[in-house]
Amino acid sequence: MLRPPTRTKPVRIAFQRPVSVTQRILLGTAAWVMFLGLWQYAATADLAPQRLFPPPTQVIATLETLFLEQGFHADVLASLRRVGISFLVAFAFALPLGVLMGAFPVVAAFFNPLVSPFRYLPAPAFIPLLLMWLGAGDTQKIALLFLGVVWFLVTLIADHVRSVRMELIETALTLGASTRQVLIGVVFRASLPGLVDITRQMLAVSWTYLIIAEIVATTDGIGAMIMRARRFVRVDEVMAGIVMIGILGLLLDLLFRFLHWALFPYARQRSRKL
Amino acid sequence: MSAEFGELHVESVSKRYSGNRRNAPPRLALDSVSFDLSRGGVGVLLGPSGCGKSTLLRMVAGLETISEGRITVSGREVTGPGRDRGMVFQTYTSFPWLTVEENVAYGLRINSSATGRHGGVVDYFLERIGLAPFRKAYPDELSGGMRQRVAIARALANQPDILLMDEPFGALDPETRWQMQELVLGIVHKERMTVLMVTHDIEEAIFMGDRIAFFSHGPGRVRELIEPTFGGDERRLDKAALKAIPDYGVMESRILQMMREEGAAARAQTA
Repeated sequence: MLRPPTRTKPVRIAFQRPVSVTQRILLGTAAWVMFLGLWQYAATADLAPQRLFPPPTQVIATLETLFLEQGFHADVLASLRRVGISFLVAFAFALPLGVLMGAFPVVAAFFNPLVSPFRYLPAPAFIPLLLMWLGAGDTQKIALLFLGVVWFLVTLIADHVRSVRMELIETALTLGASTRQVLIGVVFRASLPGLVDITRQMLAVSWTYLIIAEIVATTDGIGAMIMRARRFVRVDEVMAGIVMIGILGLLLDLLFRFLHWALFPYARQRSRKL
Repeated sequence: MSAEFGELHVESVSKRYSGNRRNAPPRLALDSVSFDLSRGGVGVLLGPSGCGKSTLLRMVAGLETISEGRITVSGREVTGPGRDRGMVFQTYTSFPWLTVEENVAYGLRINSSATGRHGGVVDYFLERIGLAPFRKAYPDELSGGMRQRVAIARALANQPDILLMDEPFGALDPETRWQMQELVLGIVHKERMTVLMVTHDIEEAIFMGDRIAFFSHGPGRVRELIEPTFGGDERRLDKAALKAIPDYGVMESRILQMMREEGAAARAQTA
């Protein structure tokens, strides 16, 4: 009688039960295989015309063609540039404001009533205004992306800075630190890992505004390519554009996770205690 | 008034909370408290919780405003926090982004423009607290007792006039606490460092203190000044030696009795 070879332990479902690395990789891969498999099956089973619902294999092939024959990299770079510049400007604006609001309740009491309502205004609603003020060029798109994240950045940074433990501040004061030394050397320094996390999360939001920014009167960028493809009912190109946005977003996320890991060795999860 | 380095004078100090919020009526937390320490003395503020002993310590540190009276350290009046009054908190306060060595050097670094010249002081205190082998470790890698040792070394390396400690060993297990008490006493006696500490541990108070201020509750007042003189330096040799001295038991049960009375009074007040 043949016995099956040793198998990995079965995955058991229980509250808060940790999952091993191997299991995590297997489960994650399985989810993707299932998703792509279902998509491939649905697209090739003649449920809908393939022109309107292409299978993943064709989307990948189209993405390759876009890069190799249609200079898609220029669109990708244009989009990255817009997200990059707008985010840098938004961060440069939000950082001092957020840090001061988080560190000094009196500053927060002044700015909060002003900043909080702005968070509830949808950035796309400003498109007509921005078009009239700034025209249809890059400045208008960068301004829209800026508006999409800046108020959230201010609030998140302020909240994070406020959570720096008072004992750390008081310790520095009793060691003779000046207000400036406490603000920069303790409050800001203690917040740094969190600021990198906030950047990572808000970049994802900025990335989702990109398409809205590039829909209006644009000739380059991933969003413009998608809108162009729509006009010619090239569903495969639309999907390839969406996939590209997803991939870039994921890469940015990984980049900032790596930065966090590399810059703040003390904040890494440790299993070892002395 | 001329005063020696490291002298502490607390003169009729009161603390009043104005109670600007609806749920916090005006309250007198400390009522005309006086307390003195000469250089090298170890003062202990002891009493039931809520008696204002931590508030007084924080006032000496300059972290709380003084409503009435005055506090001087080495003859200088306290108006705010400063490097002449180093503080060790109950919670862990090592800066997590600095290594053990950088934590200990922090005060020296921010107070002098020249860097690297204080290596000797840092090395000395790392050696004294037994953390020299862990100088490159981050606080996150250390046990609670080790982190508290870093905090003490950081305060001492900054060469303050007086060392203030707010229940510094409260979060530690009994064995570690005892080791830390001996370690700190050893260092402060050698350096002739004046120490003011808050505790609610009677044993710790008798072991460490040259002078114990027992606080009564609501508003905080010094109910009794106790100076454990029995046993001389014997009393500080080890735990067993301390407990073997008959006078220790007498003093401990007397303080315990006062604790009980204060507790009963506090319950009667709120009832």
